[in-house]
Parts: sequence; structure tokens; C-alpha cells
Amino acid sequence: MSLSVEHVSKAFNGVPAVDDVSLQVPAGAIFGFLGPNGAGKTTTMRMILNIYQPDRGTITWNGQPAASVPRQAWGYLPEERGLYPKMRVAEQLLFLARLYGRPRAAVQRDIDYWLERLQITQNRTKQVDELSRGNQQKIQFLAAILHDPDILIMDEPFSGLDPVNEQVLKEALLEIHRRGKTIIFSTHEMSTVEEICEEIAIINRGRIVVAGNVRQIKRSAGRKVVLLALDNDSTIAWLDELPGVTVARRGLDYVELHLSAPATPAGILQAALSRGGEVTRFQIADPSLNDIFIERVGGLPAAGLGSADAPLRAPAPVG
Amino acid sequence: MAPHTLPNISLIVQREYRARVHKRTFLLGTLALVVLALAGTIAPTIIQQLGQGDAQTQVAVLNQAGAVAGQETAGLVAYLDQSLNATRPGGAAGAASSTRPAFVVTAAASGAAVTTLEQQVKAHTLASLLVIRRGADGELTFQYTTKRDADSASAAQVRQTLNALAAADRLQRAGLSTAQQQQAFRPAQVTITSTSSNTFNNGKSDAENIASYAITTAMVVLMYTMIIMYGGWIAGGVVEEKSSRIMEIMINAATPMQLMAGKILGVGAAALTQMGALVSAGILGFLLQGPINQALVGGDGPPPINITGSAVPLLLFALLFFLLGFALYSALYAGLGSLVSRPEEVGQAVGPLQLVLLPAYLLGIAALSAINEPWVQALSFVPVFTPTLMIARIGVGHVSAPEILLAIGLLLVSIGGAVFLAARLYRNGVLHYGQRLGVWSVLRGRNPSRPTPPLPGGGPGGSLPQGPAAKGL
Repeated sequence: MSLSVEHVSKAFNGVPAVDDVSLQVPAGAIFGFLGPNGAGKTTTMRMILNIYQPDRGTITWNGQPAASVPRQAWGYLPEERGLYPKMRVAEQLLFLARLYGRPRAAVQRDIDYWLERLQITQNRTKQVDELSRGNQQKIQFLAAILHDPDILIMDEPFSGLDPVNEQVLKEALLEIHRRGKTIIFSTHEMSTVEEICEEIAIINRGRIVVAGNVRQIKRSAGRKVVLLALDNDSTIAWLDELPGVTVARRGLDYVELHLSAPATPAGILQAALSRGGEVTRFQIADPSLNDIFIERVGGLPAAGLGSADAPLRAPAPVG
Repeated sequence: MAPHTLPNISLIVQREYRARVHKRTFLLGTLALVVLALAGTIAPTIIQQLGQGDAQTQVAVLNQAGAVAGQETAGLVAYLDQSLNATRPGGAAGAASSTRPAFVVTAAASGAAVTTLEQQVKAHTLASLLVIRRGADGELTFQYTTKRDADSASAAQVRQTLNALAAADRLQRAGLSTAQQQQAFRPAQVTITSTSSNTFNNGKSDAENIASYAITTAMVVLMYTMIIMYGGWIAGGVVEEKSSRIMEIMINAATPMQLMAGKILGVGAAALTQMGALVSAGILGFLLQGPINQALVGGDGPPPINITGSAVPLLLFALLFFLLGFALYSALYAGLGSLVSRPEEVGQAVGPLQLVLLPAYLLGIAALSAINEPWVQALSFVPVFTPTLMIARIGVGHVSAPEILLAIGLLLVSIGGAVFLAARLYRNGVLHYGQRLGVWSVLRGRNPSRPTPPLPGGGPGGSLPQGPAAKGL
């Protein structure tokens, strides 16, 4: 049981926005969708929701084409405001939920519950455009879930929220997760992703650069971050000359190294000891998602997607 | 049919209606229109009545000619009073319905000096003075001094009456008895036959045709005004949803057809509410003219328009075509609104529709005077012209039942087509944020109600929609 995006591509006016993107989202998982601005996240999400149709590829939910899954199963929190500004909060939430066929009484109860839970009960009779951004986002969230969808797709739900509201929204999201729903959201907040996502994908210029289980991703990129501290030497200048070693951070407490071939953690330890240093700290850490992101996203060659000169590569066979 | 279509349409209709009607601008606008309608229908009456209020002329008669036409002063005064009021312009002879006669004739104090009386007229303490003298040759001379213009209507009446009086006096001096005088003045036998046929040539009475003409004109004007005013609401509503992400939420919650139908019906209901208030106020003002007339000047109002038997079906048909016409144009407005994504561009987009609407209105008015021309009949089946032309034909022309049914049928089909088209444009318009587009390029986008079968890899995709690279990917 999963949402399966297979070799999906879409171009606008000849310019590719999404190129051969494949994702697997297990049912009930929280899936983080990461990427720089303009990478193709929103386009992909819109294709999942059948707002756009892919030029190539398929999107299925539990084996069924996503486009033919009943609309009620999908919840969508768009990147920009998708609410009638002059409509009152409770009225609008009731209206939207009832369009999906939910009975009035049940929706009312849920509205009361959620307004309470998100601490915005006092706003129920206000017009949407009278609320602060954070509260509007909460209403947008409710509009996405009140019809009890199975799959919730959120486009940058935390952007522009202060820490308190971000926390409130995160907890609401987790409650939905506990109810067994599948959640996909895009964000730049790496800390949130590390905190709650089991599966992620990183997209850049329309192509997936990393996808899979977070722990596995970190591990496969792992054993390449070393924290080193020497008693009498805080700069450890000789590290710069070692091949495959990048000093990510030089702090007074420790130096953070990123290793790539041919450097190994053992080799670093050996080098430190052979120079007669007194090692006070030696730690092999998982790289942060932030680092993985920057490394993967920052490093692609210029002639990738979006360049007018580069020809589209031959499309891969659907399979 | 899509899941729960009717309940959804009902929900959307209610939302659209409330969104328009609960605004303060709506209430104020409706109030303003009601006041204007009342003022517009009542004001002319008031102005007219006030103008006639001081139309009453007091005439003081100073008779220095002794017996005139065999009458002494008292009888003379009574005669003058009666005949001056009987010759009220436009009124039937002897019309005594008015409790406020145009002239009040009294005898001046006998022995009063002419100059004194003339001073009084100048000083406005006396309205007018009539001095009657007899010359040496026996002929009467009349001197009428009045504060009014010498060539005013009342002065002309006085002249007319005095001419008759002088003639009666001559006859009396010539020796005719009163009976013979009356014979001389008896009205002649005149028979008037008209050979002009009924201009409308439709077997209805003139009164009915006038009523129909009035109703038809009112309906055509009302329909045009309403479409102009409220078409913008619909297009504006569509653009509002497109220029925010509301549309993406809505097309997940309801089908584009449900959205279009709900929007047209909901905004239409709001428009009808405002128009209904306006029309009711107008009718009320019209009906109030009689009582207001009574209260102000004690006169009758203008004759009420007779709603005879044939006018009621006309009203019903007019209402039907009115509603259908509004529905058609609303759908077209909605479709045009779907072509743009910024509120500033709405005006440009709906411009072409004015090019169709104005001729429809003008043709409707023109048809009233040329109702039997062949072009009227032919064009009345063109859906955009049907409402105005059919109302005209039913009102003052010949129409057969099959023709009416055909016209209604064509109109319904075109409304359905327009709503479908508008829904399609709305749905495909999601793909084209940021640009105003031609209708054809937007229509070429795929129909989303059928899930797209995956294309085999290789070659460019099928019909790519035109448009800029989507922002905010």
C-alpha cells in the first residue's frame, strides 16, 4: 500500500519542470519532500493531486491511478493562500467539508475540536483576511483535513510561521499521522524533517538526487563526518593538506571534517596520533540532512535541466 | 453524474449568494436604487401637481355695460364661471370631476374705480380683472388685466369665452330669444371615421398593445442593465478564485460544472434580489401616484396601466426569457473570466461580450417599431438575441407556439453549452497562471475528467498547453 510516482515528467512550453521523477511513499508514512525553490516540488505535488497531468509516467495509489481515486481521499494545503478572504472561518470550513459530502453535525463537532486544539476558537466568526498569517495557515490546514482524507499533501506548510505556531502545526500533523494517514510535505526546515520524517526525497532542477529512508541516507553518506579536537592545537592546520578532507567548521570546541575518498576516519585518527597530538575528541557522526542537501544540490553541473542549450536527454522507458 | 452534484450546487449557490448579499456595499447599493426608483416615479407627479397648484385664476368682473346678452351682472358672472371652466384645455366639456376649478369668477365691488382695481392686480392682491364696457355702437369691449402673460393658455381661454359672449350679446340685440340663441350655438353633427389600420396589425386592441409595448420596453431595458451590472460580478468572482489558490482547493472539492452552475445561480439570485427590490419600488411608486395626487391637489393621477388579460402571459414569458438571457450571458461572462488570472485584466477580457450585448439590446428596441420585418423573425432564433427579440415578438407581434418552443429549446441548449465551455475554460485555466490567453489554446488542454492514459516513453508529449514556465514550481 503506497503512493507510487514512476518516471513522471512534465514540461511547460518546452521547458522541463519535472524530469523522470520517481518516488515511493509507504501508506501511513510522513514523507519529506526537499529541494531548492523552483526545483519541481510544487509541480510534482500538483500532478499527484491531478491538478496537472504528467506528460509521461504514472502515479498510483494502492495500485489505482491517482487520477481516478475519489477526490475526497486527498487533502491539499497549497503554498499560497487558498481560502476565500471575505468568508468567515467556521462558515468556510463547514462549506468546504460539506462539499465532500460529510454531514453537517459531524463537521461541526470536528471544527469545534480542532479550533480548540489549535487555540483559535476565538477566531471562528472572523473573516479569514482578518487573521494573522499563522492563524490563516492553521485554517488552511483544517480546510485540508476536515473531510478526513487518506493522503495529505502540504506545500511548505511551515513557511513564515513563528516558532510557536510551527510547533502547534507540527503537533497537529503528528496527530493526523497517528490516525494512520499518509502525509507528504515540502519544506526547507531541515530540523523538522529530521524530527518527523521517515522517508524523504531531495529534488533539484526537476530531478531526484536522493530518495529513501532518512536513516539509510544518512548512513550511506555517513562515516564521513569526523569531529576532532586536539589538546594543544585548536586550528589543526595540517588537516587542510590532507586529500579528501574538507574542514566544515573550525570551532574552539572541535573541528568538523567532511571526508571523501581517499580519506577515512581511521586515517584521520592515525594522522593525528602520528603527529603527536593529544586527541581529546574523536567522533564519527552522521552528516546532517542540511549538509547532505547542500552537498547534493550545490554540486550539480551547470548544463542540467533548465538550460536552454542542453538538449533533453532521451526519455527512459516506462517501467 | 459526479458525486452529490445537487447538494454541492446548492452549497455553492448559498455561498455565492451570501458572499454578495451580506456586504455593506450591496445593502447601500440596493437602498440607493430603491430610493432612485421611488423618486423617479413619484417626482414627475409631484412636480406636475405643484406646477398646476396655482393654476387657479381668480377673475373679478367689473360690469359697466349693464345687461349683457340679456343677463344682469350676477347671471353674467355665473355664466362666465361656468363657460371658462368648461373650456379647460384637454378636458371634456362639462368635466366637473375637479374640485379645484381653473377659474373662479366673482363680481367686483360695484362702484369701484377701474384704476384702483388695476392697481390691485399690479400689487397681486387681485389675480385678474375683467372690465366690460359697451361702446356707442352697442358693441361690447372687454379689458382683461392679469398678472399672467398676455399670451398664456388661460388668457387664450378667456378670449375664447368672451368671443362667444360677444356673439351671444349681438344675437340678443338683434332680437333673438334665448331659445333661438341656444339653437344657434348648438354643436354641429360631426362623425369622425378613421381609415388607418392598427399599426401593430396583430389583432389586439390598442390599449393592449400599449401595455405590451410598455412592458416589453421595460423588460428589454431591465435585462440589458442587469447583465451589464452583474456580469462583472461573475467574471470578478471567477478571477478572484483564479488569482489565489482557491481554485485548486475548489476543483478538488467540486467539479468545474458544479462550480460554474453554482456561481451563475448564486450570483444570479443576488442580482435578482437587488433588481427585485428596484422593480418593486418602481411599481410601488407608480401605484402611489394616485393617492399622492389626491393628497396634494385633490386630483386624479394619470390613468393606471390596464393589466388586461393578454398582458399576464406576456409578463410571464418576459420573465422566462429574462432569466434565460441572464443565464446565457452569465455563463459567457464566467467563461471569459476564466481566461485571465488577475483582477485588473477582467475588463479587457469581457470587452468582446459588450459587442454582442449592445446589438442585442438595440435590436430589441428597434424590433418594437418594425415587428413584422423578416429580420426580426430570423434573428429571434439566434440565442444571444433571442431574449430581447422574442419578448418583443410576443408582446407586439405574431408568434406561434412551436416557434416559442424552438427558441426556448435553442436557448437552453446554448446555455448548457456555454456553462460546459466555461467549466472547461475554468479547469484548464488552472494551468495558465499569469497570462491572458486566447480561447483556443486553453481549450486544447486535456479534459481532466478522464484519467489520462500514460503515453509510451519517447517523443514529446501530446497537446502541450501554451503558457509561460509555471512559476513557483
